[in-house]
Amino acid sequence: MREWRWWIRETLRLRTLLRRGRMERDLDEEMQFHIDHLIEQEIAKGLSPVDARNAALRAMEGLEQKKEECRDMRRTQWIDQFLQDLKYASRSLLKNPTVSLVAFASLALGIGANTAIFSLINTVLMRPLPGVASPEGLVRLTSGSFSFPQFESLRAQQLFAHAVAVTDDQFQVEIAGTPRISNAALVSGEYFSALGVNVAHGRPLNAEDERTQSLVAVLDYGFWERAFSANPQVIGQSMRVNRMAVTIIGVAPPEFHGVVVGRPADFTIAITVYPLLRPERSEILTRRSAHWLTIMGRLLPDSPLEQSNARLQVIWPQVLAATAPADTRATDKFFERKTSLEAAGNGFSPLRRVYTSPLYILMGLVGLVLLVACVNIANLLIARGAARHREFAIRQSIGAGRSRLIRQLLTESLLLSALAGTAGLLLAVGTARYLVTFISSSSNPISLDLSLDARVLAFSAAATILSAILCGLAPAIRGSRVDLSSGLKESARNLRGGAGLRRILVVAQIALSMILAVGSGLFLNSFRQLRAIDVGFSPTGVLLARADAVTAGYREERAMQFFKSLEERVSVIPGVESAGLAWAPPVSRGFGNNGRVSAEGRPPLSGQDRVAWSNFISPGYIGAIGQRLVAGRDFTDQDRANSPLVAIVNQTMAPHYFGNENPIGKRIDTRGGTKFDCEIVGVVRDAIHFDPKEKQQRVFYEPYAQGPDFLGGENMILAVRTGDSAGAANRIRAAVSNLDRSVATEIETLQTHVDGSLARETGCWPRCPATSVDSPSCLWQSDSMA
Amino acid sequence: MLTEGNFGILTSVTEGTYMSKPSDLVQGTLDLLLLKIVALEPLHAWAISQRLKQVSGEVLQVSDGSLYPALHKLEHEGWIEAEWKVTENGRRAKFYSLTRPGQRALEREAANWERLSGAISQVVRLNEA
Repeated sequence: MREWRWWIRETLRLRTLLRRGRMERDLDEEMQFHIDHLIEQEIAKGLSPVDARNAALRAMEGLEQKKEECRDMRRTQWIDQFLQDLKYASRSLLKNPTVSLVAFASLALGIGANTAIFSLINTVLMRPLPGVASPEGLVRLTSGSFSFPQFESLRAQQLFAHAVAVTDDQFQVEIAGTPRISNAALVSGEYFSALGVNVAHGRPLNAEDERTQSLVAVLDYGFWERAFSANPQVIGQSMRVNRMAVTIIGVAPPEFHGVVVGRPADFTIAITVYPLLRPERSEILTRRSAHWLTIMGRLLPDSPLEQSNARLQVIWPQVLAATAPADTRATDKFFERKTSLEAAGNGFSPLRRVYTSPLYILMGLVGLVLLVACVNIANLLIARGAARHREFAIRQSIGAGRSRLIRQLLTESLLLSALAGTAGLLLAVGTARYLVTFISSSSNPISLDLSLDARVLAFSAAATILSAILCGLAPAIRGSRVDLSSGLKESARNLRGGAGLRRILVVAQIALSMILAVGSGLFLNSFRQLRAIDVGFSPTGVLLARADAVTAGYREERAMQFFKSLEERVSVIPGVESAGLAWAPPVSRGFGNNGRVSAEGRPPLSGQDRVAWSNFISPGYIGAIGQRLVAGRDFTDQDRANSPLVAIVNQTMAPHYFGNENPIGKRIDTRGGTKFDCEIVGVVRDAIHFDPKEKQQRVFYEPYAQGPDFLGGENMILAVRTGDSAGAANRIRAAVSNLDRSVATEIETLQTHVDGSLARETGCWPRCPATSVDSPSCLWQSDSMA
Repeated sequence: MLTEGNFGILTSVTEGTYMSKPSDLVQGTLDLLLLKIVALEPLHAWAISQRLKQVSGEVLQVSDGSLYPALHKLEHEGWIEAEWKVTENGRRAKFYSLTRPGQRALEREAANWERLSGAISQVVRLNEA
C-alpha cells in the first residue's frame, strides 16, 4: 500500500517535471471552468456580465496567487524554481560582468588557497595510509628508534599479529648503465602482510626473504613506471644496487607509497640485506647500540590498543634486559627508556613535527582571506542589490514571496561560488604542488601524493557553500526588503536601512583585513628574519656537488684520492674562483660528529661543556663558501696526514676554551685527553651548523687529510664558488664522469640548500633528516657521542 | 498532516506555504471533507465546491480559490487522482476520484475525527452541566 502511494506520487512528480506546459494549461483550464460557472451563477442572480466577472474573480481570492499555491503543492516545485532561479542568476551575473568577474576571481583565489592548504593538511596529517588494509589496526612503538636485536626480541614475544621493523636509506641504483640515487625502504619480512598490501605484479617480500638475506626487491609503482617504463617483464630481472645484483620480484600497487608520508621509497628490500649493500655498516644488525629502526605492528584481532599496550609494559623490561649492550650497567640510562604504543594508521612523517603548526597557521590565514573576500563581495552585491530595487519590487508585486526573492538571490551567490569553487579546486591542485616544491630540495626531496580524495572535495564543497551563504545572505535579506509602493515608483535612490548594514560590513571588512595584515605580517616577518639571518658565510654564487663515490666502491685511501682529484679538476674549470671539500655542508641539519675536546693549560671542563662539534674540510673550503677567517690562517696542502695536527676553531669555541687569550698557537686534544697534539692555526666566523634557531655551537675544523678513519667510508661535499653556475655545474658533472662513469652526482646551489633548510625551519627540526625512521646517516653521531 | 498522529486534523496541511487561509475552517478538516466527498463519486472541482456548500450549509465556508491548492495537494499526496472527462454540457473538466491509499487515509482520519469530536463534545457537555 505504501509502495503504491509512493508510485502514484513519483509518477505524478515525473509527469509534472517533464510536461510542465501541459500541467499549466490544465491548471488554467480547470480554474477557468470554475470561474465560468461562478459567472453564470452571478448572472443568474441578476448581475451584469462585467460585475459578475469581477465578483467571480473576487471569489477566487487572487487567481494568480492561487495558481502559484497550486504549483507549490507539486512536489517538483523546488526543482522548477531552482532551474528558474539558475536561469535568472546566470542572466543577472552576465548583466554585470565586471562585478561578477571581480567576485568570481576573489572567491576562486580564496577557495583555491583554502583547498590547497587543506589538501596539504589532509595529506601530511590526516589521511590514513593509502593502499593499506584497515590502517586503524596499525600501531608503532614510541618514540624514536630501536636496535635490530630489540626488534627481534620483541617479535619473539608475539605481541602483534605481525611485528615490523622499518627504516630507509639512499642507495646508488644502476639501471641500463645510468647510475642514480634512490631512496629505498628497508623492512622486516612481514611488512607486506602486516600492511595488508598486495602486489600489482610478481610477489611481495616475505619472512623467508628476510631470514635468507635474499637480494630481492619490490618496486614502487611510480619508480617502475619511471625507470622501467612499466614493463611487466622486469619481474625476475635484476638491477644493481650499490653494485650488487638485486632481483626484482614484484611491483607494489599504484596507490601504495610506503609508511613514510612525504618520502616514498623507490623500492623495498629486506632489512637483513643492508649489511650486504653497505659493507661499511656490516655489524649494524647485531650492534646493540645502533638505534636505527622504527618498530610497528598489526594489532592482534582480540587485543585492542590499550590491552596490547599493557602487555608491552610487561614485556619491555625483558626486551631491554635481553638487548643491553655489553658494557651497560644496571643504572644506565639504557634501562630507563620507556615506550608505549600509538596508532600508526596514517604512517609517520618527518614533515609532521615540523609543519603541523605552520600548516594550521596558514590554514587560519587563508581562512581569513576567504572571509575578507566574502565580506567584500557581500558589499558589492548589496550595492548591486540597491540598483536592482525596482526589479525586486516588480517581481514581488506579481506574486513572488520574500522567501522566494531571498532564494533567488542566494542562488545567484551559489552559482557564483560554485563556479569559483570549481576554478579554485583546479587552482588548489597546482598551488599545493608548488608549495611542496618550495620546501623540497634535492638534498632532502619531499614527494607527496596530493591527489584529490573525498575529504578534500568535501572540504572545497563546504567552503563553496559557506562562502555562498556568507557573501549572499546579507545582500539577499537586504535586497528582498522591498517597499512596494516606493519601489515601483522610483528606482535606486531609495536605500533606507541599507546604509547601516553596509556600514557594519565595511567595519567587519576593515577589522578582518587588519587581523589578516597583522597575522600574515607576523608570519612573513618570521620568515624574512630567517632569510635575513646571518648564516655566517655568503651562499650566493656557490654550488654544492655531491658525488657518491662510496657507493661506487671507493673506500679508504682510494676514496680520499677520488675526492682530491675531483677537487683539483674542478678548481681549474674556467670561472671557478675556489673549490673545497667538506664532510658536512653548512646548515646540515644534524649531520655531524661531536666529541670531547680539552685544552692545554686550562682547567678541565665537564659534562656538555667539554663537547664540541667537528667538521673535516680541505684547504679551499672556507674560501669557497665565503666564511670569513678572522685570525690566523686557512689549512694548506702542507697539512697532511703525517704532518703535525692542526685545527681551525669558530668564534664561539675560541673564548669557551681560552677566554680572552689569543687562541692561535694554543694546543688542544680533540679526543678529550691530555695529549694536546693539535695546534689551533685559525679562527673563523660562526656559521650556522645545524639550525638557525639553535644557539651557536662550538665547532672546529680539521684538515680532511688528518680526519678520522671513518671518513674513508663517507662521501664528501664539494663546494664551488663560481661566477657561472650553469656552466660550472655541467663541467663538474663532466669532471665526475671523467673520473669514473659509475659515480652518481647531484648538484644544487648553496642558496637552495640553505633556503630549503630555512624554509623547513620551525625551531625543532630533528637531529636526523627523519624523525621516526632514523636514517643510518646519523649513526656516527650516536657512535661518537661522548 | 492527515497521516501523522491523532491530532493531525487540527493541523493545517498547507500551513506555511499558504498565503491565505480559510477563516472558519480548520484546514485539516477541509482535507477530510474533500476526501469524503470524492469518495462518494468522482467529481470536478466546481461540483465539489457546490457539494461542500450544499452539505455543510453556510457553516463551513470554503472560498472558491482555496479549494484548488487543497485539491492539488491531495492529488500530489497520492490520495486522489484526476482524470479529464467531458461533462454533461460538453465541456472538458478535471474529475477527481479517491485512490486506494486515499481510501485508507479517509478511513483512518474519519475514525480519528469521530474519536476527537466525540471527546470534545463530551467535554463541552460536561461544562454545560
